[in-house]
Amino acid sequence: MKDGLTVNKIALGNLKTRKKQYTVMIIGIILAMIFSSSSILFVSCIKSSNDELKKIKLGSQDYVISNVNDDDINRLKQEYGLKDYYPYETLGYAYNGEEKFEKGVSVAKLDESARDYFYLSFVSGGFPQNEGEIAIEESALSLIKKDAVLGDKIELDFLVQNGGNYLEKPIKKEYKLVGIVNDKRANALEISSGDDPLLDLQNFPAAYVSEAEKIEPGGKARTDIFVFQKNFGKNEYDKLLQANADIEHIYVIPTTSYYSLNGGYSSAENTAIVGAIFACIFFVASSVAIINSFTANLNDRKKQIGMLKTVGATSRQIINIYGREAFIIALATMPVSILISYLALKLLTGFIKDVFIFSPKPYIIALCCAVSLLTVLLSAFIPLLGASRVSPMQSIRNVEYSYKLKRRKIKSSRQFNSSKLIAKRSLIFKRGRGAVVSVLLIVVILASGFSTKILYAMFGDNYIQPFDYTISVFNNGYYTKNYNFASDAGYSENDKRDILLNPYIKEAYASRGVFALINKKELSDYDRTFCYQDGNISVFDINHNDDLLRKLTKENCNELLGSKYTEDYEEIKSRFGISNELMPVYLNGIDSGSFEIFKKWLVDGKINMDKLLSGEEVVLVAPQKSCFVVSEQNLSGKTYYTYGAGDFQSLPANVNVLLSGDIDYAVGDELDLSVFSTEKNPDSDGYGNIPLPDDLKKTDKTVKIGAICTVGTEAENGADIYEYFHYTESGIYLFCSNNLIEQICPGTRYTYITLNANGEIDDDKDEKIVKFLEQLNPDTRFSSYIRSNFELENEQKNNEAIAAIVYLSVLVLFLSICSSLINNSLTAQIRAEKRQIGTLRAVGASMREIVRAYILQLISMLSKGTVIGFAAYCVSNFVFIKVQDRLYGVKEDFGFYSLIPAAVSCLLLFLICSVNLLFKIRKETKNSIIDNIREL
Amino acid sequence: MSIIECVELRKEYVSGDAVVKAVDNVTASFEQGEFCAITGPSGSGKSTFIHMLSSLEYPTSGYVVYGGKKISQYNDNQLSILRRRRFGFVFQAYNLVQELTGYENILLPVMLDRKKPDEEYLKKIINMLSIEDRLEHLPSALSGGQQQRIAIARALANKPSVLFADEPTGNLDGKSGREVLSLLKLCSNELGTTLILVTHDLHVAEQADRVITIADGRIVSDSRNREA
Repeated sequence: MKDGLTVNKIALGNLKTRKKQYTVMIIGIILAMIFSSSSILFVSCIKSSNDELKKIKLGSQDYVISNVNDDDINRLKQEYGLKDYYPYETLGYAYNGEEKFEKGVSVAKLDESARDYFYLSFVSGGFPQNEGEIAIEESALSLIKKDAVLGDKIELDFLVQNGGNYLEKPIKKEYKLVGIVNDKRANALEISSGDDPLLDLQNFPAAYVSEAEKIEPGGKARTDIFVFQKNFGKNEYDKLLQANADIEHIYVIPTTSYYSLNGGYSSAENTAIVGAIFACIFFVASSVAIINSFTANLNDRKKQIGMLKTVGATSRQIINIYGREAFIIALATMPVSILISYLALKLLTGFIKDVFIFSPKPYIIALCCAVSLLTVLLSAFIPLLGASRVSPMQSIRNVEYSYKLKRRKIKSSRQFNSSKLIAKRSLIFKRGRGAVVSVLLIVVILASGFSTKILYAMFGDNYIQPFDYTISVFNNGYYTKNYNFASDAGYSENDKRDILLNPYIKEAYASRGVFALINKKELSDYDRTFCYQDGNISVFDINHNDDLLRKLTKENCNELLGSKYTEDYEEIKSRFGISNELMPVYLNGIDSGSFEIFKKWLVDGKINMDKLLSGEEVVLVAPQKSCFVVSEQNLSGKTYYTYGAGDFQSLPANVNVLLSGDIDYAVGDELDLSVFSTEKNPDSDGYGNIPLPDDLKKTDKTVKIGAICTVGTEAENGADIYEYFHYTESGIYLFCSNNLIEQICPGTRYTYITLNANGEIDDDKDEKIVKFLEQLNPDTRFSSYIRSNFELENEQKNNEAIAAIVYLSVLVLFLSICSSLINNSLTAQIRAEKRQIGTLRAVGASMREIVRAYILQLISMLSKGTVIGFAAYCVSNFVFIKVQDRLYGVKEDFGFYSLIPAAVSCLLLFLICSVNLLFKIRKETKNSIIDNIREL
Repeated sequence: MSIIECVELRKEYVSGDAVVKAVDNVTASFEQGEFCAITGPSGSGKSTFIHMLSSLEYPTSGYVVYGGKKISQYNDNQLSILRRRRFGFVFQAYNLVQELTGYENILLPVMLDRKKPDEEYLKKIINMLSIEDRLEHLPSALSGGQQQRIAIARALANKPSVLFADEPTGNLDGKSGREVLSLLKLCSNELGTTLILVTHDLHVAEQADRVITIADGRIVSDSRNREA
């Protein structure tokens, strides 16, 4: 008879005759296969979700290169590794009016394949089929033709493409809007950073015409290509930069989500890392499960191994016999294991289907089978190798254990609790058995403790806004000019009136502000702390680079920061013959109803509504003390400097106070305010370097400080003032009535309107209110936004639900791993100690006493990990809090609540294992004592 | 006066399609202080009989009466109490708890009963068995004979009424076997314990007051030794 056949026969024979003995091992193998296949499925799910999300958001291409010709393509292929690409044509650039040129769209002609590659999907309508039809990206449409609906004829200004350029004069072109496309250009903009050299989204298609569309006479379509590249990373990005620089007329636009455009890792990458960590945990758990169950099974059958060795079986044959068993069991249990993992993942991802797409391809399932089989065989090999090396007598007489016992010097107890003593001795002689469990428990406690804190912070962060809706525009924040643009965008009085007339809206508070300058003989240290930083104040010309910040000391601070004025500041003074110093301040006009909120921050004076409404008085909101500080931080061997001003209540250790001063404004002080404004539009870039306008007009106004308010830090004050009144603690602010703004700068538009709705808000009402607010056109040059608390809260609730599900899943996963390991090990132990159970029963131990002995062992097994885990968590949490306080000045509670889930988990674990123990011992004690004692 | 008796004890095992009768309708009773040897060829059912008699094994039918009560109807807890207080067991394979020392093994039934150990009595047994210097050792450090002495001491620790011994000399050499047997007899005589001993060794059986022979699960002879 052939050797292999014998081995197979023994393996199969073992399986048939010792079904009960195999139960533990089979369960272990199933668990291991579930863990390992789940890890593959989980990683594949994350990958496919990322891929799908990326395709939906940006298209399936990795980047777009526009304005290429055949020569460029050849060069890109030869020098820059271009392989897989697909061309499409761009016919021109459509926009609505000269002033909105920048908000226009590149119009592309896509054939069917290009459409597939670009992964276009429609909010409504479909792809144009005929000449004269157009589909436009949703956000782009709102910029060029806000009110357009499907079927509308829309007339646009159109620059006809002429290769890489446009024909000189735009034409008027009428299209029929047939489709509104889900955003892609807007998403590309979102993942990019503003200063990325490859950011040129003007060439990124955002409007699409049919294949029947022809280029206008005199023009020439531009050829662009979608490029597909595997493993897009830093090198590929650098190559793109190089190509973009080398081939001057092309524009390269990366659209991969795996690498954000300025070199940082994207969230997709982070998710992949989390996925990999999970996969590792799963793999370790599965290996441990197999090693555990296999060791238990082999211990159970040491005598058989010894007998086989006695009759001449080699170590290799022993490995072969028992390895084959594992292989046979793995093969037989594979379908059920894979099915369980599949269903578990399906269920989990079903809960969070917005985030995960779970549709594993057949090859992934095949991979699951292969990996789980390999995991079983490799993990089984470790205990098998050990068992195969044991000498026959060691196996038969279990002399190894006897040696261990002999080496121990034990002193007899004269009186004892039998259960306790047996448990204690068992633990002494089988030390190390619970090591894996202890490690896992420590991980569970640490992970659950910290994730509870994170989750709690996440839930706690959900600041409920005091208003139902906020609409705002950003204008002034972009200019550090100390003067105002009369044409600045915002909401008009009519808009405000329309809002109040809307039946769904109960109340509205509007605010608007202007930059003002307080005439002072000299700037105090208090003033200077604010002037030495950036922000809305522009007095001194300071380049806050690392070199300067490194050099700063208390002594040279005023010299290095406060000796050179900005050109604008000096020109304003000279043009208007001002000899005083000018302290910039933001004068914020608010509705009378909003002043009530200031009472809670009142430090001195009182809120006199009559005087505020008449424009005679203002409320000064400023810290009582202000410091200008520089902080130094070492990260990866490099020192970084940051700076700021404000009332820093508790300063972290690495912060250096260079200048400080107490408030030198008092109630009753008269402030001579000068407000400068221009009728001209600001320059288009919005970032500065525009000359002081010729028509700058000065308006003077003297106001009295009626009240002084000090707000404190943002965290302490529920952020109301920060959210709604443009306030930051690093400056001084004057709050006045809207009447005063009207007196100083008539026609200044509102930049902030906060609203409360009538009654409860539901989906329908919210949609109607948001639609209504969208119709108000603030015509801002930069951005405007509408914030609906209702939507925000819904989103927060969703996020919380996802976080809670993920958190609970992870906790349950760890608990399952722990409990399966412990249960497997205990079950194996009970089987191995069957004879001892029989002996104890024979001398009169009842089931209760036997159970107690095992429960005590279980407690000891769990308590080690639990105590170490809790101690480790308490220490690490304490250290973390201290480090956070020391480095960043952030005070945080210990958060005893974070111990609760870990404690509950440990308790649950104990209960699950106890029940299992009880069940297993009951099963053994149902057999007769002789059955227990009898050797197999 | 009978201390333990069994009525129509039967034990059947199912092996494939066949039903094997290990013990077939055995009825017997044992007197207080009696030393009874149960003999018979291998596989005759003598061990199964003593296991059922001592409540270590459940009978298929029939019952056991101890002290006038049918112990076959006892639940697990009642049987545990009975075993720890009234019965003592000595097995061929010693069956000591490996993690406990010799002394702790001896003390085990007393401690399970949560009683204060009778030091005088224990000392007496230990002296009789000559194991004073082996008490602090773990079973693995003891020879077979020494382990069996510890097992006997454990069986006697609670002053049992009946001592069951299943081939107690089976694993021992001739000299150790003889020693163990005489110790069992001595203890039984000294303490007035009924000794029911299974053996296939006729020399051992000869030393008993009474010899029951079992073959094919049935009692084929029940005789009293004159010498004894």
